[in-house]
Amino acid sequence: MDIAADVRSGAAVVATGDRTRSTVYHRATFESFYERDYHAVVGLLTALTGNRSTAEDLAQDAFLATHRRWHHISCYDNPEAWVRRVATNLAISRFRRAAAEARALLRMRGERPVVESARNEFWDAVRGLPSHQAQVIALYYYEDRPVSDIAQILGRAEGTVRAQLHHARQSLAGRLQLNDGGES
Amino acid sequence: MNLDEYARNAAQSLRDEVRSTDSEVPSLAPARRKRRLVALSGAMALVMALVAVQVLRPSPDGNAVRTIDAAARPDGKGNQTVPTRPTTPLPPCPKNFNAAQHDPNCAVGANEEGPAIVAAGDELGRKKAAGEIPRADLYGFTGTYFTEKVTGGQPSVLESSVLAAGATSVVYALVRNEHNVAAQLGGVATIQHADGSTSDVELSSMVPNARPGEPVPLAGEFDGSGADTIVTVTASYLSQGRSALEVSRNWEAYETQPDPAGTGQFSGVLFNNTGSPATPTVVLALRSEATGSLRVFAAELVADEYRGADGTVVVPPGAGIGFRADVPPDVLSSLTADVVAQDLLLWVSS
Repeated sequence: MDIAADVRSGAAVVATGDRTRSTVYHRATFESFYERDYHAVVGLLTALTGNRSTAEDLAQDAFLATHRRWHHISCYDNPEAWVRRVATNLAISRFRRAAAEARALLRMRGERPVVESARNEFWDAVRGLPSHQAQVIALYYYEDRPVSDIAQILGRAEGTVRAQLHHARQSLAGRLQLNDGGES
Repeated sequence: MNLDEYARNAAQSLRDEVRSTDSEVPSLAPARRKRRLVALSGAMALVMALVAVQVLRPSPDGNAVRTIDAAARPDGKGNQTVPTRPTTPLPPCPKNFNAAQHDPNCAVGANEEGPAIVAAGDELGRKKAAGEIPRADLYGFTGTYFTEKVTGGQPSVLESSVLAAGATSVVYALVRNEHNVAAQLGGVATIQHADGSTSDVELSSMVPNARPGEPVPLAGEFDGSGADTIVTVTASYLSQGRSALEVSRNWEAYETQPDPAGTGQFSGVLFNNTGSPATPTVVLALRSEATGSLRVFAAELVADEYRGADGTVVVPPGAGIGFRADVPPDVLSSLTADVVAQDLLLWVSS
């Protein structure tokens, strides 16, 4: 990921003309994109997985996937949506698979399963929601994104996201014994 | 306290925690990832080996865990039987249809609001040409080619390919239900053989009950020479209606990407939202960028905890179950995260 080293690595790289400039441009853009969005994605993943280390690993996976396809993704209107969609999908698969594996392993040892969870009551409750609702809530509250953004990130219709947000908020209000202010 | 106030406090706490514990952005570390993957792959290999003993055991009903694509295996061996299921048309939706609370088993009317539809049908071609292929995420279906604007005419033939697998060849076609009620689709492919002669191959649907606007894969086998080409594919409606439902599409699927340089296994998790114990059938379709061919294959269930003594996999309501499929090598070579994100089609039914 050292762009300068890539460019320094040989005259041929610099001499290949527009294609090289384009590649360097993409890489440079990815660097800034990565630095700008890394913490946000880790936070989003921490909300969804309840585990900071897992979140960092998944963020690395999501950004690596983005980097591999950066020459395409950088042309998108909103590359940040792409990495967030990959990240949230990874989080759901990872969390549920990890939980299933933990259950299986602990059953083999004759122990009761203990699934790691964050201390925060709210995010615990979010992770107890159906996964498609948890994704919406994390983006809505953690990233403070409007419904239109969430719909774009998750590849869902706005009406669907609005409905999922509504149902998720109702569920959370019930579980946490809070007033649902009727927002959204 | 108000939920929004509470939630925003929780979000701020988490943001503060993330920033305070690590203000440095680490460099992307492929080496670290590689080490982790090596460790993971070792563990996964052990788990898979254990699971394979269970998964490869034939199920009593003979169609739950069957791999139909023989050429998906490097040695060309495999079960080439195309699974068929009894089909029953889907019931109508209630008149005051609500997309958010829809019953995924009902027939969504063409003029009703569909669930999670990303792009309208007449935009699909333009979006695909622009590299913006939209995905639809419905219960029991994930992928492209879904439309909420059906034509009302014959089923659309979206893709087709012929695949030689030894003495037997398979025709695959992806067709879309263009009526505003659920339907069982079938078709006929006219094949031209190496000697110039032609023959018709009957195609049956690998997915029961196509919803309005939903694409489904058809398949049919014939004795091929390896040099056969498709002349035409014609799709038709075999049955439509609004009677009682026996097939459920109330499955929620999360797929993961195969490692393009790794095992070529495509895996994911399903959740049973049917409300009752059920055995899912998972069918996947991918279009190879390299060859342009459509490949359709069934996934195996990774289901040690839900497999009964008789070998039957029954997933309790609300529970999740893993699935996996070997991606054909020619498809794998052109597979990237981007392709998977945009071109994979996945159906689950029970």
